[in-house]
Amino acid sequence: MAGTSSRKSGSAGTPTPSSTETDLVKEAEATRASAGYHLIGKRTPLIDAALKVTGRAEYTDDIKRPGMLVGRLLKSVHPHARIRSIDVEEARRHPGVAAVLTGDRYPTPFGVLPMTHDETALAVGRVRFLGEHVAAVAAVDEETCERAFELIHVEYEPLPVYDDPKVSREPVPVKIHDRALRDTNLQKEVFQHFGDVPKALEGASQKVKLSGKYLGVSHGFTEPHCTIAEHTPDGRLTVWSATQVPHYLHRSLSEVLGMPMHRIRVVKPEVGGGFGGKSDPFPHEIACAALAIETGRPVKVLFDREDVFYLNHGRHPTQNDVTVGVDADGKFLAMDIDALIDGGAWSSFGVVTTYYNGVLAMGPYRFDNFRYHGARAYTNHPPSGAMRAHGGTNMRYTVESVVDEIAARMSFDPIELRLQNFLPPNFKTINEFRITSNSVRQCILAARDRSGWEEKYRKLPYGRGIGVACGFYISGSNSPIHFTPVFPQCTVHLKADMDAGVTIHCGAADIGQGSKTVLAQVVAEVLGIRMDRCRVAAVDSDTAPVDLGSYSSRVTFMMGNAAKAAAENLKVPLLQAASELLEVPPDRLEASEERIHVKERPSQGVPFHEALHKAMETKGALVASGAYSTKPLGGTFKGAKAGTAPAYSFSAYVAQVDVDPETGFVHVENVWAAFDCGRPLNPLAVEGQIEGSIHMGLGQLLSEGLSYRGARLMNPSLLDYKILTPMQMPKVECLLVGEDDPEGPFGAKEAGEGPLVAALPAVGNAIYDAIGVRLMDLPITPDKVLRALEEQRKKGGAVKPPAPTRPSKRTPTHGGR
Amino acid sequence: MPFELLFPRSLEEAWTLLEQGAPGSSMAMAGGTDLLLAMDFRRFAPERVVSLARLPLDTVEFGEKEVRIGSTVPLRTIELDPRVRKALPALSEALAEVGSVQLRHRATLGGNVVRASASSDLLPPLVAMDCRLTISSRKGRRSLPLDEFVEGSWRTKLQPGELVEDLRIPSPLPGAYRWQRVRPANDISQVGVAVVRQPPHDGSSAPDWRIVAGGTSPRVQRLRGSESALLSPWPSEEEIAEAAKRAAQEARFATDLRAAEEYRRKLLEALVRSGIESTLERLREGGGR
Repeated sequence: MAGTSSRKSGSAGTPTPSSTETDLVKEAEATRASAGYHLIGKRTPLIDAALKVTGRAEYTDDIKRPGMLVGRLLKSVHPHARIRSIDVEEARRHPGVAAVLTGDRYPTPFGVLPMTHDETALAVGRVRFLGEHVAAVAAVDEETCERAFELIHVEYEPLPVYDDPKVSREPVPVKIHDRALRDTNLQKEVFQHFGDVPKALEGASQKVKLSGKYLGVSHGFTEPHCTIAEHTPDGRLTVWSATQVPHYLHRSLSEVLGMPMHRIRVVKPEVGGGFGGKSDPFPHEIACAALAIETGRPVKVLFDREDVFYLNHGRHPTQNDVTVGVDADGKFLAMDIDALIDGGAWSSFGVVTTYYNGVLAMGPYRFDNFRYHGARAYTNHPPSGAMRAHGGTNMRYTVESVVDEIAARMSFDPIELRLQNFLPPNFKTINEFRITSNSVRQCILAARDRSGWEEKYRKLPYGRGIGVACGFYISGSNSPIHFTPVFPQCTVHLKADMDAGVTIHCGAADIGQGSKTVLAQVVAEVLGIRMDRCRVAAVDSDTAPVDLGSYSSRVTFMMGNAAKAAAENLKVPLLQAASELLEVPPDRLEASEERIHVKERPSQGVPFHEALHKAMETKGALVASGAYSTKPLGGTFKGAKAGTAPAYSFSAYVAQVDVDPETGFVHVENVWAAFDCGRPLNPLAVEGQIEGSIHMGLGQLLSEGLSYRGARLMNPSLLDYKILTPMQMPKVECLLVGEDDPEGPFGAKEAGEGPLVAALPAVGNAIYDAIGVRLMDLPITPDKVLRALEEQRKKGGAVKPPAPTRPSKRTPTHGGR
Repeated sequence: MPFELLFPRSLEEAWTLLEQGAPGSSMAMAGGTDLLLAMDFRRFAPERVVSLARLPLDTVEFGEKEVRIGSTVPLRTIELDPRVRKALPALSEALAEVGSVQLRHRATLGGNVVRASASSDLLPPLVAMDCRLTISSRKGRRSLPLDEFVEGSWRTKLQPGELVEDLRIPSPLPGAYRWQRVRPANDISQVGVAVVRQPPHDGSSAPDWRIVAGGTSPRVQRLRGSESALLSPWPSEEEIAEAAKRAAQEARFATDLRAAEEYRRKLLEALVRSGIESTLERLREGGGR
């Protein structure tokens, strides 16, 4: 990958200013280094990297159970139809077939959000998208399953097909779900209004409105979905699954199968990427368990890539209109938004998505007037769901394009315009988000200084351009999905035994992002020991305490805090034991460098293992627990909790592009990615997230899109669904300039989703700088670029947009804070 | 579906195996990169797959006037052969664009022409260079121009019991291959075009330009109108522009997921121009006539 990093080991003390400017990156590194942590903030290879690169890490598909059957799911061939009958008798009798199940066996509806249960393990009486599962077969091998499919006779009665969310908004003769709003096919509608938007827009000296159109996109994770289930004669069910949300899967299995949670064991082996695509409990997971119960034998359901595309749950196809009004000085006055999103056949996270498309839109900017109307439509497309920077990506592109357009029309430098309008730190927004740490100013200034912005903006030759955009995302959803019973959002258990190793149990799902490494870093940091003493146990509901899951960028923040608390609790008996050995009160002791010693006299101490063994003399193995719950946040109006988070990440990206005006091909050359994740616990992993986010964002921007003809998905393969290759990666420079967050573990905030959002509009705005056309219909494929250039020529010639004429002053790297 | 995989060690043995059973029940396999996928997608269900891997068909031989490439030589081997790079730049350039390095270690030139994909990156340069195939069976050998051999996707003049032994390409031939895709690797070209300057034929004094497009229609197409705009060995800028324009007009295009017809025309125009310019540049650098 072409990503490079600018990071150098930070030296304490005053940073050396460059000839004209202070280097914000070096300054931030120096500040962080002064805290003196031995593991936190160090570039740390992931603790499972060696296993993964040698192929020894165990993913679900690697697991083999004795006598295991193959489970396959028969897909609907209609996008919307009543199931008149399903005859499975012939398939059941076919040699090698162990079981055939249909929807009537476990018809209890479920879904990730408690208020919108509209999915079933297998279709019950009706199919709502092409590819929905209508029957499940367990057999000795895949061929026998396929043969059984041919022997299943389904009689469908086609229903009207809805493939356009605009139609879903109107009264419809057939509702896709009874729970759709009124007589429409809308799943959810949100109205919010703060301040007085019409009045503010009336008084604005400039109003800019842009409409964005976005195809749905797929997560494109490496590992297809895979589940194994085994029901044993002791009455217990074990489910191994590639999931981001073991706990929600646990609950759903219990609800649908009618089995108490304590008899179900959910194990999450290694997961080959999720990006939100494994953050729902899925029908195939429940169907797999049902087949295991039915046959009494282990059953494996492994998806192929086509199955993955039909299950979808990717980013919503979206249309959004954003209007922003500004005063004559460029101060943002009001934002008005209308969004219509295509939810497909199920709700999934849809209520959240509908809110996020509005509530996250103001992002890093201050507005005193804000209005949002958002609607999520049921259609007969495969369901949309949560995908990295869920609800914050498409909206961000339109908003950042609007800001760029305001700058162009009012002749501002877009960086200067943004600098005037940023939210300050420690601020309450109009929709009552509590902003604490916020380094967006440092982000944009660092990206400006490192990219050579002033020598390039509007000054590069025609066809080449530079653009800027900012980002904002939640660092963990403040509200848990389930409110009952009340329990912490994350709990960590530790056990230290004779071997002087510490075993860490936690339900947090490492899906490749590196949360296991963070767990080991945090625990080892607090205990002052080497990281290799820490063993992170597999996620297993029998032994690991609950974590709500890997979604909403919550893991580092919440799990990190829980792990820190657990390690602090484990340290208490260790200090007590050392105190007895050293005859020094525990409050004068500290743990570092594998020892527990007197704070002011490090030579007076005992090795870690001696303190541990002393503490164990009467208690046995030391165990400790730590938990984290967010404080109540947000207002009291309807939907006030949506988008509240204990902290927010901020970013500013500058991108440089080269557009070929003959072929329309866009080549992204550089991205300077300035990101505020507070203190990066593992800068290596943060840079990985940033580089990966840019790869993913550029894919959605330039080439990826789920293409439908009517309700039929046309490109359910990795050949026709175009994920960019590493060859197309720009040179990436990661600029980590965040300050410590007051509540994050060691000052950290999220870096999983926020790094995505600025990548797309930074490039879109760079294309505008290069060729003077604003492209709002994603993906921006070369044919769209050529068409836009032709339009532009008709209107009077292909030229770069004019350079800004104001303001004359340039914001210094330090100042105006 | 289960099948028998056979590894004959002589051509005679291979011919015999390919004749077994009903037509279609025995299929020859070179690298297998297309065939095995097609079998996975249930396009073919042969009872016997006859691998050509152990036959003596894996050499590249440079003769005085032609190159003979055995049908099972991996694409990567040809691509990295400095002689091919020098003598047949259009082929070399196209080879470097097929699939990915991993795939090219496995895929073969013989397999590629028998697959006869509409979007093959190799057919345009091979057709532009008047490549001929040697085809053999128990009944004997025959030689056929590639342009005649290919009928459409997965459709060729190969008869049951026959296999492709080698490809023969006149050499050296200056030229270039130009393409565009969404992704530079692991993708299929939206448009690919080969430009080759053949030496004067049949007593004519002017070189014979060949412009052959792929990825645009069910079959590779020679763009004769475009070729006829190039009147001299060193065409002028106007001639090049005219050739590019005519190419865009005369080519037959399809609209599919990969690109719309309208866009393909625009693209072809740009690529033909670039291909001719690059060929001329190579000729100048090589001190060509």
